[in-house]
Amino acid sequence: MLLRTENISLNIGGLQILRDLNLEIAEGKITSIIGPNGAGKTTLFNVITGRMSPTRGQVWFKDKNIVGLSPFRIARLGIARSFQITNIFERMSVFENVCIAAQTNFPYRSSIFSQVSKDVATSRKAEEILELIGLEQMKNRRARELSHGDQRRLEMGMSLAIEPVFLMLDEPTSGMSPAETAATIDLIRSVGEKVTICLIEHKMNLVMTVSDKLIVLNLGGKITEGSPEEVASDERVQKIYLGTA
Amino acid sequence: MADSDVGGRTVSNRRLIEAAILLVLVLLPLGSGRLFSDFYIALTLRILIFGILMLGFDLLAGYCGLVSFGHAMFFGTGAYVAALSWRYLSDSVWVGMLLGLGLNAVIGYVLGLLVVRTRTVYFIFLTFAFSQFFFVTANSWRLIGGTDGLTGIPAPTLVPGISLGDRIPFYYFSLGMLTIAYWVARRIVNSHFGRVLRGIHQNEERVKFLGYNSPLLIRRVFLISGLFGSVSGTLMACFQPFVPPSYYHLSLSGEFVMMGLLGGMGTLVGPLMGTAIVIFLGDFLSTWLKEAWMLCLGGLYVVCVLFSPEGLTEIISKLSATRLLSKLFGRGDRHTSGN
Amino acid sequence: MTFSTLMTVLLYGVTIGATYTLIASGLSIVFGVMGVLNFAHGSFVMLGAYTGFTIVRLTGNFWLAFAIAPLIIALLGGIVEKLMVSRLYGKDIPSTLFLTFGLSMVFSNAVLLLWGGSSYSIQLPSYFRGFINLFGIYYPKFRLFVLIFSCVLVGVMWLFLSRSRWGLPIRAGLFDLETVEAFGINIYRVFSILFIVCSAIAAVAGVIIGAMRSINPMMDLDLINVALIVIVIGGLGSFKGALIGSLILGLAEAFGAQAAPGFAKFTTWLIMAGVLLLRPKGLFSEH
Repeated sequence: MLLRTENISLNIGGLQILRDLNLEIAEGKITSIIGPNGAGKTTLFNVITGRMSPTRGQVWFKDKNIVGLSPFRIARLGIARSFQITNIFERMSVFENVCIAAQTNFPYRSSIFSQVSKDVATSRKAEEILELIGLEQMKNRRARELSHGDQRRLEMGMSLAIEPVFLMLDEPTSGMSPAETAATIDLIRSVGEKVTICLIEHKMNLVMTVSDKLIVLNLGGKITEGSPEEVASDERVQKIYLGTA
Repeated sequence: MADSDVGGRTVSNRRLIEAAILLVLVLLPLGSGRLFSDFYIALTLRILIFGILMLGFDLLAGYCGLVSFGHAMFFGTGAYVAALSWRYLSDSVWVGMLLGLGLNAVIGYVLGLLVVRTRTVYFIFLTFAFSQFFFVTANSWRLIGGTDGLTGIPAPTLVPGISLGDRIPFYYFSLGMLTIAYWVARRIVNSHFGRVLRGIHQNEERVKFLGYNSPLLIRRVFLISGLFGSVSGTLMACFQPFVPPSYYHLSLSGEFVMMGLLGGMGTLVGPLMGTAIVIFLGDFLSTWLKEAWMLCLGGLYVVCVLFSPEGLTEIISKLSATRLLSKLFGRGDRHTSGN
Repeated sequence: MTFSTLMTVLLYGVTIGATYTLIASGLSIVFGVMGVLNFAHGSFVMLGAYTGFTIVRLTGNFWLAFAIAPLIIALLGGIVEKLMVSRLYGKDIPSTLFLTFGLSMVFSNAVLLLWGGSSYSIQLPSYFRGFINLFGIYYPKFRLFVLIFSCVLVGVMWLFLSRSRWGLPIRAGLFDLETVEAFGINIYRVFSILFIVCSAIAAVAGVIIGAMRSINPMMDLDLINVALIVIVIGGLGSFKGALIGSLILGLAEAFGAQAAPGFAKFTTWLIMAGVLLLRPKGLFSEH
């Protein structure tokens, strides 16, 4: 197991947002977390990445308890995430957006004495990423000038550029056109060959095609988990999705 | 503020302008007494001196996005420490400068631990509050002159035999210091650290989730920024042989913010231009309008905040004449400095 | 320290604190509701003092100054709000500070041009001069009036904020604009009126300070300084914070001046530093 949560609970002001979650994420697989709005999916991401502290419970990443670590420490362990709301450096070029992520792989990542212009390694890494996410044509454009879909891809590119072991994507295709979504699915698949991925998604067709495993949350608790086929045939899941629809 | 170099002027173009300005500044004393009065050298000196502080201010406010409303504390400390050392320890300018840098490094480190917990308005408040402490202390501590400040400070020497009380050596010394400061600041901006600073300005959360310890980096830039202010204060104690407590005053810190905003922050050149504008225009207006000059300067500043929040560098970069120039000079080397 | 000196110092402190409340609460409310950090608030106090001074000198009537100076400053505040401050609504808070810092420079220079650099004091009517015997404590009559008047004014503001139809949306504050809109209130009109009222109250405080202490062209910086310290202590945007902060500051000044003259300002700074270290956002911060 790459990542394992143990009885994660989160209470905010008397509300139980997460309740006793025991999840396991297998190395090398693509795991999707689904569930209706308010199920606690993004909150779970926030707890794992150190944005929020759980009221109870542990998160084990490679046999290390990461609860209580600050976000940057967790990121340095190799956990990268993207956000539900696009989270990029809007006034930097696309290239620099990727560079600022890519340079974290080198010992001079925040050095005062090294010069960006002489750093071939970061540039090469950034070019690789840009090619992977298909934004090499846009590299000198300002990030805020990109279309929404391209911005989402850029954000994924940034997460990839830190060479994570574990990539967490929060609704990577939200607001994308069908064509963009298809391209992103391909991207997730090809990345998934090397990196363990966990994603939150609403588009069921996407989830069903790319995932190795599904975890269904509702009201902060785990309903069920399993392969896409198992989950699709589960009565409780159908009830949640059809019942609330 | 602090945009990347996309679509900006080319590096070679900028180097050309930098070299031209440096040349003019180097040659300036030759014209003194012939083309214009010595007074303009004194005026330029003020720009050189405050320019150093403004470069540091820009690293913090323009690049990292944290506006300090108490930067006078580094300036004042640099001035007081140097003046005291010249009086009691040694007449070498270096001793005073290093002691000032040392104390300001301690101040920058300790206060950095405290201010790093806050952002935007609260950052402004905290820097304001701590600079208050220095003002109050300088005002009430008899040993360093109390409300009168330190007066009759002996002129330091650059090396034995060369006194910085003489205008010309001091001018070139200050120009040298500003040049070094500019070079250092430019290197910092173009370093990996500089890139992350701009990242913190635009989206600190993203920076954290990429694995950067942003509070540590903020503390670092805060300290560095203070060191620039320290050098500036030391030079001022050399320029004027007295150090009043008003070197710590809120209105001076406010003036720094004004210089930065007038010129355009996050460009290094902008705050230098802002400094030049405030000092030259201030002088011009004060001879022309007598006492009403602050009225005009304040008015100009207000108009600037309202209509051109990015400062004069933005206005200039929009002027077609400059664009033409940059096209002429920028041909051949269109690489942006970010690459 | 005998009991009567203790009571005297206490009275002085509370009186100063009450005056500071008039200044700091305006700064705090304008910040909390509108997101405008008004550095020129000290200028309004100063302009109120100078205007009041001129009115008293021309007419000899203190009460006229007390009534008309705030009206003039309210008008000025209205113009400033309409022409300049309103352009920055919704922008970042630091730029409102930068704008009003420039304005304060302009005002300070205007005062120097109009009234010169000397120090003045507003002439009090004869019945306000001298001391009064309060249960064995001799206290300046005018200060007693200031204490009572300020308490009444602060009380009215408190009632307005806690009871009136407008109070709740104002207390809901900047970060809840949608709620305010839901009350069916035109928020920009509320902003204008608030700015004007706060300017007028600043002018009232100016007349009081001008009569109690002195008027000089540097007082704007001194007072904005005090007001900033108060809201650093009390917490930005909180009326209660401004009140408590002002009282703490007034008492610290009075006792500091009594116990260690020359170090009075240190006491205020120490308090501010202590609060900042324990609660970086002030005692009663609501945001």
